Amino acid sequence: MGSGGMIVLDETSSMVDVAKYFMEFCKSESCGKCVPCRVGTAHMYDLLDKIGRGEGTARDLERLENLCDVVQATSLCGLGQTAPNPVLSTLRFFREEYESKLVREPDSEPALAGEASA
Amino acid sequence: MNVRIVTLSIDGRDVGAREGQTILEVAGENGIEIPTMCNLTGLKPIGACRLCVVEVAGSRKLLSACTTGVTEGMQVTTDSERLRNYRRTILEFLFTEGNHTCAVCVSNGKCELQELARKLGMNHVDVPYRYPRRDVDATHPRFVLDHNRCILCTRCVRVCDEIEGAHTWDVMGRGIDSKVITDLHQPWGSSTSCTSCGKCVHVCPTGALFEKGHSVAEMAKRRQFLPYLSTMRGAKE
Ligand code: SF4
Ligand code: SF4
Repeated sequence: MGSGGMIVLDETSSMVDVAKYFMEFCKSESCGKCVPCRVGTAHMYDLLDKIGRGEGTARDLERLENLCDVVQATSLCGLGQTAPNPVLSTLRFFREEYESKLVREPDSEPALAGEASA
Repeated sequence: MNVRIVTLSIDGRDVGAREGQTILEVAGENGIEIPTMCNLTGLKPIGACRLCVVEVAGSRKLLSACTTGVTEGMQVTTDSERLRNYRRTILEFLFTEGNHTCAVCVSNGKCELQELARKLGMNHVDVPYRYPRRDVDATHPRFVLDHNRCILCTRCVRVCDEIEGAHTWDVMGRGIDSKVITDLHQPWGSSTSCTSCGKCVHVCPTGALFEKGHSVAEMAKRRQFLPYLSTMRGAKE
């Protein structure tokens, strides 16, 4: 989990909540000097919270993965560079847990009323 | 004084540089512009905004051009699809962490953040806005600090410490809750260390620091004093 430590959880723990727990730690430990870590950890925490509450969309998951990449690659120090790790590892091994919590979006945009009748 | 010359390549171009220069300086001298926000010539570089990150062959990590010295044979890439995407997101971070309503801002049209957004082609913001509650400190007789527009570049902190020598400014708190303060978090107007020189106002890249008496789009910043004063400082040290 980021530091290389091992954590034992049983199958009742939600992996999204686990990632959120670690992100809360990184967000409050961020010193605030560099932008990607200061702002990125806060955004990632918010997105994990939204997905955990069952309100996230597929687009939010895509956003989260993009933020992981940006924060990992551009942060100044090790805290920011490793902050996305818990999200990335839970996504790698338990992606279906994230996906099962997403709001189902309609396959295609509904046609506008005007267009449909025209 | 002996000056050692190093040669390196930036974006495939072979360039010469003096030892001790940063990638950002050498790129600038050769007409290659790297976006920055916290950096300002004349103040110590801190590598905080991360907008100037570049790829250096042989380094797994991206390096900030403002704080990385050039070395012999270095191969630097300042522009790529990947870097452009990162810079765009970092810029979106700056816009979404505060409250920027350019249309009613004293710096509208004269703001470095706004100008960079235009240059990098930021035509929409993908990350959600945070809409934090932030204060305005208008207690100083001549100047105002609007935290809503502060991007925590710490230029004000550095100019006050390094050039004016007053060290009125500092950063309080950590992470997303950090903010700039005067004295030990006292209202600016009651600060006993502030000399009211106004240097902080003029190095501030946004409309976070401005002079009273300016309305929307009227606050132009003047920085002519900085190269002169920082050279004088350097000569003394
Ligand atoms: S500080 Fe710049 S970006 Fe922010 S509201 Fe003012 S003009 Fe817009
Ligand atoms: S007040 Fe201006 S100069 Fe100071 S940290 Fe904020 S944006 Fe930067």
